[in-house]
Amino acid sequence: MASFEAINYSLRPNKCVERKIIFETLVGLSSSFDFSKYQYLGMGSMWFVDFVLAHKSLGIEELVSFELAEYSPRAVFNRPYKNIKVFPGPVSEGIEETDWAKPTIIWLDYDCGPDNPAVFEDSATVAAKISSGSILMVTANAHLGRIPNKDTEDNPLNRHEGLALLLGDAAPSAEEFKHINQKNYHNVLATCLTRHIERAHRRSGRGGKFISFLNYYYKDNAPMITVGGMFVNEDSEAKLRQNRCFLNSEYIGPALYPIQVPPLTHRERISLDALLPSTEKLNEEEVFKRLGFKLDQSQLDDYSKFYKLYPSYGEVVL
Amino acid sequence: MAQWTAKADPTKDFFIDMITRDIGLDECIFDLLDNSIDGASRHSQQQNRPDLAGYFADILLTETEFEIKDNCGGMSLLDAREYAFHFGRRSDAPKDAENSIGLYGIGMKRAIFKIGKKIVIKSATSAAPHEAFQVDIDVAEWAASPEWEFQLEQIDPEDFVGTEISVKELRKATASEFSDQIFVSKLRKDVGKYYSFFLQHGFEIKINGIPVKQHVYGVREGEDIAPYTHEYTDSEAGVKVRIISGVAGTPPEDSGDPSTLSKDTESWGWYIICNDRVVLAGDKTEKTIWGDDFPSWHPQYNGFVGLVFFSSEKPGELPWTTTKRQIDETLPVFRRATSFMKDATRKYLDYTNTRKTNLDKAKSVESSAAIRPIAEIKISSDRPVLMKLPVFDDAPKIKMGTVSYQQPVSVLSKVAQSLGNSQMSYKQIGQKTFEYYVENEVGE
Repeated sequence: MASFEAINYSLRPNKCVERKIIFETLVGLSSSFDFSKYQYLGMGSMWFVDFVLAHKSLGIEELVSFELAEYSPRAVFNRPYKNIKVFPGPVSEGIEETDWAKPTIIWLDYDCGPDNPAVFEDSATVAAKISSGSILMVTANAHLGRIPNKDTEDNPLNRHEGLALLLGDAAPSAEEFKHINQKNYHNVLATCLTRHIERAHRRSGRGGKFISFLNYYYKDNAPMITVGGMFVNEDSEAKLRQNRCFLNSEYIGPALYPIQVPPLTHRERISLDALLPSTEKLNEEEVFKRLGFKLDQSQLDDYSKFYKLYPSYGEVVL
Repeated sequence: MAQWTAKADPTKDFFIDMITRDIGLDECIFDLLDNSIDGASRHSQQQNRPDLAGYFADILLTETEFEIKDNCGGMSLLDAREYAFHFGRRSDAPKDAENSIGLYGIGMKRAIFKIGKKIVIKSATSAAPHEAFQVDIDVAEWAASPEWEFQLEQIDPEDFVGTEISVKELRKATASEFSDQIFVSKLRKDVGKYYSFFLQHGFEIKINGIPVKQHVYGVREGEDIAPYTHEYTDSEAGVKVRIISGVAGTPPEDSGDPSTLSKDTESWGWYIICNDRVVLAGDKTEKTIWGDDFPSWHPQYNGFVGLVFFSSEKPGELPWTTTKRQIDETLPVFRRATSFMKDATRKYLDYTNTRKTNLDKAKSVESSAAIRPIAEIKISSDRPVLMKLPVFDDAPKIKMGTVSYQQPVSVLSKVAQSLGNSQMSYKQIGQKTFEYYVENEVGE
């Protein structure tokens, strides 16, 4: 890959598109669910991008960001609104101190994978406590290299064994997934995590169920997955199933929705935008003829799919 | 003379609730499997077959239905009328299959009542195809009627020989477990463990179309490592007892490090097997030998596996309880076995201590001894053969010191990763980083 095709990791355009998709979807659902009465829990880091969206576009007033005690003063300094509370401590403790009777949208936005037990453990704890009508999303790293290849005694492990060591019963079985490889690992991990959430909720004896429909896969550098959905009782399930966005949005479904945007310069972007929307597919040669530069057909397809969500970056001199 | 009578007849609802209360879903399925395997054993004896090859049980579980289908000979009409649908085994029940695992005549009813509400049972034998029958049970209707009866309808079996049980309208809790792939794959794994020795004899089990793989129990056998073996007949109970124990895994290097010990320990400990059915798996409690006058289980003993096989033509003599998933550890035949089980364990416990000071050598000896399946281990002597474990010459005396210190876990895990194994034990991290310092900064 040419170096200009590599992505500036700090900008993470795919992550940005995912965030837009998720909040666009939530706005769509908000015609059936009054999210302004919800609380939003997340991991806002120092940037709070999702918190801004939760407050601005969903009207949520009660917002809590989990941040390690060490960094929490800086997070408090950086919070964009004063109604964002910063919980100083690990997410697991934040979960313990949360009032779960209140309907919630929670995004556990990890950058690690199942190698950090918190990913599965925290998801399960939330699933066991959360009230119906609430939404849980979990983002995790789906890089194969994070599966241990040796046990504590340095004996070699294959990928199934490595995942079994991390996940116990939640690990994928060899009968269902004969091989675990680059091609399918994101699906394997998403399946395991979703089942783990469903199981934890079911076993909590709270009734209702988990409907999984916010599922995304992207790669800014490391492959990442987000799995998510809503915990419903009969009443909220009926509301959800009648929601127009839920019925029609292409971003909603049980399978991982791949997000892939090509890195483009600003100039390339506005030229392509000028050709869109188009009933005909943007075509490699056509673009070359009209604009004088070449892009792979796959990149053109990806761009046509996401052009409305494509982030634009610029330097601002303050 | 009594003045008043209080009616004590149990209601059927109460009865159904009682018998299904203390049994897990996985145990229900095991009960039904036990019946199939009993049938296969009986049938193979009648046909003088050497093993259970050709017999199968196919289990299907989904959110909406459950089914188990076998070709294990079927139930005769007489057995069905007199025994199979009777609650509790009648005292005049005929002698069961040789080495039968079924015993108490309650398993099937209990299992199907636990699973769901609309039940159909079909069975046909090759000896009397005209007596093939079907029973339809609507649990709610049955519970409402005063009679303790089931109606058997005659059916045309066509070529079918065996038993088929299907359950629809699953109980709510059952349906949600059955829809869970984690439950299904764990069930497959457990069946592979608990029915290992039947699978070994050729019996085939499928769950949702996928064959269950036999879990092969084994212990290391090599030049310096060999298992404890002993076989005898308990003359009072007439029960054949076979004991094998040995090293199956690698003992942990650092049993003081909790992060490395919590995982994957269920394989270790004692296994009790009655008529080839694993009744108790990986036991580390006083149910077998641990604690009391013997050392309690300690994670340092990870890697140890012991198996005791009890077999008898009279299943009632075996040390198990009604559920067949628990042992009755108070029975004399079991008490007598425990003294040998302790002999079969003690040497290993000592070894885990001596190996600590000779770690490298111990590891190389251990890994040179391959794990041999239990079925291949021959017991030739009448007397117990003690476990063979590496003996270490006293190393030349070098004065040693112990280094011990604490570091934040987050730093440790970064170091482990940079050493190339994210799961490395803390002890090893200390060792490796120390060695690195010595190699790079300290002259010989």
